[in-house]
Amino acid sequence: MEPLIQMRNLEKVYEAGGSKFYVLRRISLDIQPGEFVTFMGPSGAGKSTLLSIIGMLDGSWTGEYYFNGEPVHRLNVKKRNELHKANIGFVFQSYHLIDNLTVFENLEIPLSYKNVPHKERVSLVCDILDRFNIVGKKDLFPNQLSGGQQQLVGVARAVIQSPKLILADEPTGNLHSAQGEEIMELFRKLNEAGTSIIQVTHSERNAAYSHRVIQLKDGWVVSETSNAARVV
Amino acid sequence: MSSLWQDVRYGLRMLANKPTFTLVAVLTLALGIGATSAVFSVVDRILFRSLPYPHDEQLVAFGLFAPIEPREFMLAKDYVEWRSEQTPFESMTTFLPGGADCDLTEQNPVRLDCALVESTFLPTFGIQPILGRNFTKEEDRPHAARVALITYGLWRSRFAGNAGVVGQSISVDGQPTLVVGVLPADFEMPTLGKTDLVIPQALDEAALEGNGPEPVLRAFARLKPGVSIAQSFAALEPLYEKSLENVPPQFRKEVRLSVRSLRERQVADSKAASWILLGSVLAVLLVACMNVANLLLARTTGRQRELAVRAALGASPARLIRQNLTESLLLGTIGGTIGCWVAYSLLQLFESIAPEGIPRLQQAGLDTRVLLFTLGVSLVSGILFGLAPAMRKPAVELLTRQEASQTSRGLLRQILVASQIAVSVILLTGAGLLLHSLLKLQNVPLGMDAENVVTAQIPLAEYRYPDAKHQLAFFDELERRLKHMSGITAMGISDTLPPSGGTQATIYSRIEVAGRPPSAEGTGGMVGWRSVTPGYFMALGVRIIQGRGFQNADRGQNQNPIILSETFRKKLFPNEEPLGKSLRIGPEAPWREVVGIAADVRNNGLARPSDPEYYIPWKFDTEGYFRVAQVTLRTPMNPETVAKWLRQETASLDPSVPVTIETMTQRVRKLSDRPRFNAVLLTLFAGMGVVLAAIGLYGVVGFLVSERTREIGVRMALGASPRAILRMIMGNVARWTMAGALLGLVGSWYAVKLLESLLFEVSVRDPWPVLAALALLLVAAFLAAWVPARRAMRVDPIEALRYE
Repeated sequence: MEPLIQMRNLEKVYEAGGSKFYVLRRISLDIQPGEFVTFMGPSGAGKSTLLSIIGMLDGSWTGEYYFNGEPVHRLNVKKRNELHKANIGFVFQSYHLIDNLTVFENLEIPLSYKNVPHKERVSLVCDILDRFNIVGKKDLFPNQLSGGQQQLVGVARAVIQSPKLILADEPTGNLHSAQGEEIMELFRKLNEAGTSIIQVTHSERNAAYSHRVIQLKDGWVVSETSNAARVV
Repeated sequence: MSSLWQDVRYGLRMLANKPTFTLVAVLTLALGIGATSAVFSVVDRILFRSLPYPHDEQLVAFGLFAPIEPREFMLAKDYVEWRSEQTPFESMTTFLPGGADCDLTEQNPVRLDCALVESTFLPTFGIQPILGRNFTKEEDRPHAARVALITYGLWRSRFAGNAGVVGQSISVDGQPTLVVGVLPADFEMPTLGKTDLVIPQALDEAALEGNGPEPVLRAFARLKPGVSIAQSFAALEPLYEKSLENVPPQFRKEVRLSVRSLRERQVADSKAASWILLGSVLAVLLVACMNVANLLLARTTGRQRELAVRAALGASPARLIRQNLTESLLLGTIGGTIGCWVAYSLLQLFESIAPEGIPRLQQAGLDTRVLLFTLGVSLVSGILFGLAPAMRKPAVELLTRQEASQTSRGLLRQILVASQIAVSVILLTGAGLLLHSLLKLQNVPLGMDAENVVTAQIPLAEYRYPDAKHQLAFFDELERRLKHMSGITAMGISDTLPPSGGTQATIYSRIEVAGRPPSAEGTGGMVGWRSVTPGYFMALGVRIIQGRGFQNADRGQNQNPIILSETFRKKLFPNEEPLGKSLRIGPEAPWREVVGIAADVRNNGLARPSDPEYYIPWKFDTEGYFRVAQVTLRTPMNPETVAKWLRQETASLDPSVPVTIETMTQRVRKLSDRPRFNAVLLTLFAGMGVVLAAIGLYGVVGFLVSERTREIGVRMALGASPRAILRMIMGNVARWTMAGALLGLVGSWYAVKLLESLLFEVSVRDPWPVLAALALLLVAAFLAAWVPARRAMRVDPIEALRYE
């Protein structure tokens, strides 16, 4: 089976004051469709940067990166945006809902960027509200929701466009443990339904939900371990 | 489309969620757009809008320029000759300059303004009467039955819009006159003079064959299709050369041919000021746009996280730009809508302070064209100020950090504020120069004492006072009555009054001094002259610096004294004693003895030096013109009381004679009305620019302080005193304020050259307006920066670091 993500010798460098600072060094990895992978490592290891590159938010790097067989390293910005729009959903630690939009509108936004017709948008948003059990919150603004509810909307927003891959950056970092567990259970179910997930976390407990844990340090991949004790 | 509506809906919500930002931005834009629309509505009529004639671009004024007349003219004989030749014109026409007073002498007689025009006048200008017809060639001949076209205004006011007036006979100057047509509502004379009746000029072409004086005509024409003004000029040159043969050889160098567009003729005097005002108000709009761009940039910095989220959710760069531009266009449109009200109010202000003679000011208004302009300006402004913030790339890396914050040195914002300061320095310098010039103009020595002087203009109707004898009899009697009124310390009558122009004039070379050969070279320019009564000099406070003024005895039949102005004396008798010398104005005129020299009086407006002039006694004279007299009364009494007496006395002689009364100070003030109008408007715009720049500066410093709160906290934790923090902030402000001021100085150096034609006795390199502009702006900048800078001094380091 063709990997969903294939990276070969991927590097990212910052240049400051005439000297080079490597954020990522010779990253080579494969991630299969339907896999749930965790990136772990100390602060500054390059986890979030790698997540941004996988999510195609960051285009300044060298090496090879294939997404679902498409050579991302050869695509221009427009093509890369289209690939990202069609296949990837994001979940952030700070939720990053748009403050001035209601829950309904926050969910609608990625669809409108994909030029989904209005009727279809409404139908998809209603479905997802129902699926995530947040129909009653649809007209509320983010500041009227608890952290857990906001992250639930964040996950719903990532899922609404049925992405092949969800990228989650410390998705439970701002939540208390019960809320965190609820979100991780949600990820597990999405993964079981076929969505690939890559998360960045410091939490061993969250990492236990994934198939594989990749450890990074100073920009290098230092270890890869299959998760025998995965939460199921 | 639905996504566009989505952007609009979100945009409106964003504006509603930030009411202070929205209010400041909308008011700033309303001010800029409103002022621009108001000025545009005025200058559009002068510079851009079509004249109310079909194919107005084909219409030209043509004729000769010579010292005897300030505008191009044709002598009747030349005109008739040119008309019979092949010309580059499809048609040509003339009318008598100045028009004429004429009275509607029916029940409730009323004095009207009549234009005396050739029968080709309406066809040449492409004007169709809305009722009736034009007068025919036969009706435009001497001794033909009198006919008239009436203007739309007169038709509505005097004849209640009754279509039956066409074909009726009305009484004009006591003579039956057939109304043949009614002119359209937008009819205007090409000279923009007020007109109620248009009547045939009835030029006596047969009489032109003799050697008598020829009428001076204003000539206009419609170019043949495809013929340019330059081509028509070239085509007329052979005719001009032929006409030049009739001009005495020594004068020929001072005569030239002129062909210019009708618009140029109408607005030449107002063109420079119009462009300057339009430029100034566009500069204010630019400052307003920069201000709003600055506000939006600050807000965009605060919205970095939101934009990054949108990008992460799949928004393309174009879509993000569209979202941002939608918001700025919404701001522009709301600002433009309120700007319409600002424009309306400013227009009212303009009309209330505007001097006479600004072409078509009364027609200026917020019509469809101006509203479309306002919409265009609003949208362009929206794009202009929205573009910089919209083009900012979202910082998606913010999303993978725990705290979504980004600091920026706000270089673009500082550049924008520096630019605002630069534009404000230019506007202030321009306003300063005009104000300085106005001050000089208002204090120019007049050569007379304008205080406590009441003047009255009294025109007599030609049909009631057909000759000089009757006219003089009326004024002699009026003089007799007024002279003995209590409270009048001096009283004079003259045909014209200073300081405006409009004296009668003669060619210098016609003046012959006894014992000298006649002048051989050129015309020598023009010399003005006035007929005055003996009391004239005392009434106006004009000093007689040598010899004497006129006496009653000088009005005797065989008395021909003359008084010269100082400038004229210097020209005529530079190294000789003038008193007792004899001179005459042309070979047929009587010899006159110089009896006195009068001090120079401003006689051609306030801005020009005194032209040479001479005075002759107010009495029957072949050269005299007595149909209109100017009565001058020196009196310490209330001018209104004096005016009432004056009217009563005039009415007791003839109740049909209109009297226009003004104090001399009012007349003088009128002459500086237009410079005052220009100065007031430019000062208003400069003031707007400074206020907007100060608001911009306040916003930027406030923004920098809030962005640097953490840095300030760290500095204070490390031991920086509040004064050191204040110095740091103000030092930063001073750097780009000075940069803006320097840029403004360079800009002013070039920009003020455009004002040169509007300045009086002030050089564009006058340092005071520049220094005053800089001082004012630095004070405004200091005050605007002081409030947020003080806030920086009060930052609590613990709070600042905890916040971060």
